[in-house]
Amino acid sequence: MSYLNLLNLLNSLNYLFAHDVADKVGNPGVIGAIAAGLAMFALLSGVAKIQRKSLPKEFPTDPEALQAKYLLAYRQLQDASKESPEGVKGLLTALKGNPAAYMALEAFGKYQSKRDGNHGAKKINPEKGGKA
Amino acid sequence: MSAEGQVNSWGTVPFGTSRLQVRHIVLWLGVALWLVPTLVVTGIQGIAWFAFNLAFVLILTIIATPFRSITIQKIGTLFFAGGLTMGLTVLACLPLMKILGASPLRPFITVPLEEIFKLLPLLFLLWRGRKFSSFTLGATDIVLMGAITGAGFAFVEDAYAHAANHATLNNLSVWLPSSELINGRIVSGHAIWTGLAAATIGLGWLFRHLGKIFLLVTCCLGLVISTTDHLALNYNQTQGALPWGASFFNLISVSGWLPLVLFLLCLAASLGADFFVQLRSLPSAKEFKLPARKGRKDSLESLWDSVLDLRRLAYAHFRYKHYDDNSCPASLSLTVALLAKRLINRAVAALDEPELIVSNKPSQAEASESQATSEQSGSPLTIRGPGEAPSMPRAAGQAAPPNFGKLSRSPQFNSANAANGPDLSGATQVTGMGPIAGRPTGDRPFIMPFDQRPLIDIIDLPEQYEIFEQVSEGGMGVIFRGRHKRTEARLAIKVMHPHLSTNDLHLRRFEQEARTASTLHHPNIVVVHDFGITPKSIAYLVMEWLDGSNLDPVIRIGGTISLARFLHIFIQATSALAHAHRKGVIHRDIKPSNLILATTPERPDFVKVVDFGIAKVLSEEDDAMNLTRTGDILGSPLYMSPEQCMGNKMDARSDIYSLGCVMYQALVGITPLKGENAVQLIFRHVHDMPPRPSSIKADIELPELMEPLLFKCLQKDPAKRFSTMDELEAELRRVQDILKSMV
Repeated sequence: MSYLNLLNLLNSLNYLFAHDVADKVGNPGVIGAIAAGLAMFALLSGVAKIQRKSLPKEFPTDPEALQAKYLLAYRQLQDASKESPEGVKGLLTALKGNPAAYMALEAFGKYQSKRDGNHGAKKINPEKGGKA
Repeated sequence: MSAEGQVNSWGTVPFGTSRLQVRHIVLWLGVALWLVPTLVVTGIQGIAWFAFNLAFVLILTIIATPFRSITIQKIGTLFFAGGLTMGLTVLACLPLMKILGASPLRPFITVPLEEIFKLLPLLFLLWRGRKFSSFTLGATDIVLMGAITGAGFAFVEDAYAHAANHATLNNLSVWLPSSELINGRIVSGHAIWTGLAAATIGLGWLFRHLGKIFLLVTCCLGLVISTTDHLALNYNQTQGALPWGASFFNLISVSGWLPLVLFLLCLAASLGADFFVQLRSLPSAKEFKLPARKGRKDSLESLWDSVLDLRRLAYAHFRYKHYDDNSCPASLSLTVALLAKRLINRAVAALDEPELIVSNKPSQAEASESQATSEQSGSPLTIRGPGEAPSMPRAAGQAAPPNFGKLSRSPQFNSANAANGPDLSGATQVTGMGPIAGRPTGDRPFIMPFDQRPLIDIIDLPEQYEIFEQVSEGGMGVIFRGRHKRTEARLAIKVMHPHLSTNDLHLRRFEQEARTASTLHHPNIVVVHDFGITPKSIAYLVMEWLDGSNLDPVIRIGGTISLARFLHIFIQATSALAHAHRKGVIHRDIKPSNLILATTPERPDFVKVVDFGIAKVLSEEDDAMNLTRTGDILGSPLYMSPEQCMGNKMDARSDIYSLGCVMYQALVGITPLKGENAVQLIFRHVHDMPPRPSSIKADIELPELMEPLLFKCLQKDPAKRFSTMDELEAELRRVQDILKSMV
């Protein structure tokens, strides 16, 4: 049986049924669209998601960012910046010889300072602030 | 669900002896529903249109492969999203068509609406990813996203609305899918129209730094041309009603070649722009290079994931470097930081660990295999070196220690905060060393344990000290930045947690740190100025302030350090420890965070050894009140010597072992031994030898000198190690001389 014959057979078997469905839905394109939507959501659900409650508030909500590899990087950068008394600035000097690490930390430092500035974080002035 | 709470499916359903993922069932149901009516209703024509659209998607994806950063999954999602958009367009346009009837204005409303609808999936993804993924897209990615949405749209529309009306397929459809020849006019398909609109958006988005007007004009240009051409397709409907329409469309759309040629030009421009960005955007760093085929150890899937991340970083960094410090969006900075760190982690994780060399292996019962974990070795629940690669399964037949429950990594107490340079404190050297013994705890007032106020508000330091912000916190206490009021000297003030002050043992250890450090006068050992207990019974320690960082984050962030820097750092560390040993003090807690790399313009990487909190003064061995009596296990499991692990008698050679572990990590990028928990680690320190550094890091410098040096430090039997720290220092200096002579 040739391919066209097979196709004709399929057409003769199912044409009426499919046509009826299309008529009832109102537009045959809508069937395709609904089916495409189903497939799209199924594919979207494959995007790995991490529970928001386990994330820092400032972490981007973009599903692409919610991957373990990026979250790990974030936590490592955050921990590292906390360990140096001077924060990121102190570490940057130590990382001068490593351009990749320097780039990561410099960008993280800019992010932190911008974030702190935006949130109006209290900054202690060493000359005026502090507690005796 | 994984440990991180990852959700990968909508659940599973039983299928025979296994289970099927619900999302996979839904996906194939959707695909089947999409294809079957096409096969049935439109027959061969519909299949042909589907094939042409699919061919267009495939060709475009192949062309874009050297530059794209979006995943195949996202491409698939957009293809289906295009189909869904077609349905939404129909739903939106049907009522409009009923209202407008045969009005000549109808196409002027429905056609632009359709063109805008097709861009919605792309615009939605750009909006959704505005804090991260949108910065990581190249111009080619955006062309691809638009064209693929258009192809999905075209398939639904063509299969049901157009295909059945076309009796024959023309040559143009075959040679250039997604376009056709109708009545002598070349008609671009939806994929090309939307691709063109997306291409100009992509170029505008990549060169956004050229200005908002550039962005606005570029983004609108493609959409206007596509919409005009689409309207021109409806020329026959329009010209009858609008006499001026004929000349207008004849003038601007000529024969339909304009959008097709512009699309190809924009595609070429996008590829060229992305090539330029990938070539020029990133600084030269080994972490940003892919391993050569010969030395590659990661899987193809993992390698491709890294390639995509590398491209993402290039695109994000291109945007990032065009901003000055003040105007750069915080989310763009974060995107660059995350991607760069992720690639550093990949480079470290690629240091695959071969089999451990086993020596003196006792016969052990079969035990569970170490789990080979992924890059998430930095998980705070696993005791493993900072930034280390996952452990590999052990060799066949090799005994493994019992796999006890995981232990939490205890907070690291970094007493070093503090600062480099001459002693400017003006404080009397160790003035407050009043004996604590003899002061029964019951005599002292204490801060109530339920006092929730911050420590900075509670502490009652002597009036000569001024205290500023907290700079770090560990298990034992907190370090504040401070200064001496009279001399203005900058100080690091370490304060013991109030709840620990109730315990005399802790107090005595705190005191011992002060006493021990005060006996050591060496440029590479932190200077302790003062120690005491406040009226509220808070123990404090005043030290010099050090600008810089400890070695731990330097290794954790950067992976490894160069041999020249390694030698510069560890010669100073060995010199300091040799001095301590000569004074009869062994440190017993050598780890990266206890080596401070103080920095001044004149002296970068000036090492200061800190935290003598658990040091042992050898002459006090038999002291009844000895705080570190035999049997105690104190220290950091990653760096503990075998004799320390077993609670046996220790001497200076224990520090040599611990320093050997730190040196190994600094040079190779991972700690010499690792385990799922402290018990496993201790077992391995006692029985296993680490793998050869050159088998992990192929490009290690002078392996013929460094490997014997490291292995001599890491011998299980103290008698086989360097006998003194001076000996190790001399060996390091010898390697340094050889390295210098080579340069």
